[in-house]
Amino acid sequence: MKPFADSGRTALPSRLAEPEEIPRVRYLFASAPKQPPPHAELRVVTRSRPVERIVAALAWWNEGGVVKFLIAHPPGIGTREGARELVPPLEADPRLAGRQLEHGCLLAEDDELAGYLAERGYEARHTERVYEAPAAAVRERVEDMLSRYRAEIPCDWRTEPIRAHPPDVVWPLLAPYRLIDPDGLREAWSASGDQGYDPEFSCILFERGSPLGALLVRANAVCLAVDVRVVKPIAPRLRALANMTLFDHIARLATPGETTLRVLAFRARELDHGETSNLAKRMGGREVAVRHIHTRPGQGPA
Amino acid sequence: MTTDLRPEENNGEIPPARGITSRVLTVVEEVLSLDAGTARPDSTILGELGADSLDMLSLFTALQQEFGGTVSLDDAQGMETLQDVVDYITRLQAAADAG
Repeated sequence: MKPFADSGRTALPSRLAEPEEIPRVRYLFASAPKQPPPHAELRVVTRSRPVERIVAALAWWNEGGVVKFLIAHPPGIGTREGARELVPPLEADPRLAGRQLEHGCLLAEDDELAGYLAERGYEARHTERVYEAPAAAVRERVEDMLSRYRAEIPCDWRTEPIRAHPPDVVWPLLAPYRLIDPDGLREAWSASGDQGYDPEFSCILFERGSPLGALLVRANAVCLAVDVRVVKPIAPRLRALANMTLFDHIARLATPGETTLRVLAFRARELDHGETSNLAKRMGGREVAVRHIHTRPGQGPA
Repeated sequence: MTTDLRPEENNGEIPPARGITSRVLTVVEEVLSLDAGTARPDSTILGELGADSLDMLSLFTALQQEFGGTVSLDDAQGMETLQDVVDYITRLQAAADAG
């Protein structure tokens, strides 16, 4: 395999990261949507000139019978270049013969890495669609619904910001839907800034002391991204009221005139989150992205 | 169900007794702000009509107003198409007539 060129500077084939390189490799993944777990094996590609440095890294680990991997690189390095040095050796690793390989997070359709993986026979699965709705339209609809149905919301329901609760409180609600794994949930719960769930806008709906639903959102100055919206399986009427109550939590915090929020973003898996897609569209949302998990079935003897 | 013809399916004439199907389709189009004629008995509520849980609440409130107090969203579990809704209301009305 020919190493990729860097204005005449030679790249070395991928190898296992040395122990002293691990903090630098981890740092490369810091801005990734998902962090490799601590036990992940880390491989690197380095360049020796003008100074030795890591130009791309791959992390792989076993998760639920599947080999998952992520690739990271510093700015200025093409994703495809790093992938070309890192992915084929992973696929050829005899320890992984016959195993299904899966990229560890969603990739947009126009992502360079998605194109590279597709060329190598990876299939786009677990399609997720992303919608954006104007915050004012969401508020208007929620307020309209509340004006008609507030009296029907059970009086023993209340929402509380996630700030005062550990992630374990909502895990039983989330687990059946495989929206996120426990490590990812803990990570997003404790991460600061727009990498983590906003501790005030994100909320848990309680029925007396018991969690009934949750709305987990990431926030920046103008956008609230709804990462998880879940309500326990309950009668349809109560389910609708629960959704309304969760969105009311946001509406009460983001009052017009005081908030800079302009957009709510929703993500929805194509096959089993039709309700979320509909919710986004009915709130004036438009589709802004389609993302996939790329998977390659096991090849060679197991 | 000849009495279930909608005006546009009956040479523009409104049938003397509007059937349940026609009334359900009209309510659905009003609640979901659909163009007239968009909703059909075989339309899937979540798929083709794009309703969400809040729409379902509004829809069944409107159906309750149209057909009477026994219509309840809590009975909607498992309903996929508008025909399922029509069948449900037909059953309720038959039970009410028999009672």
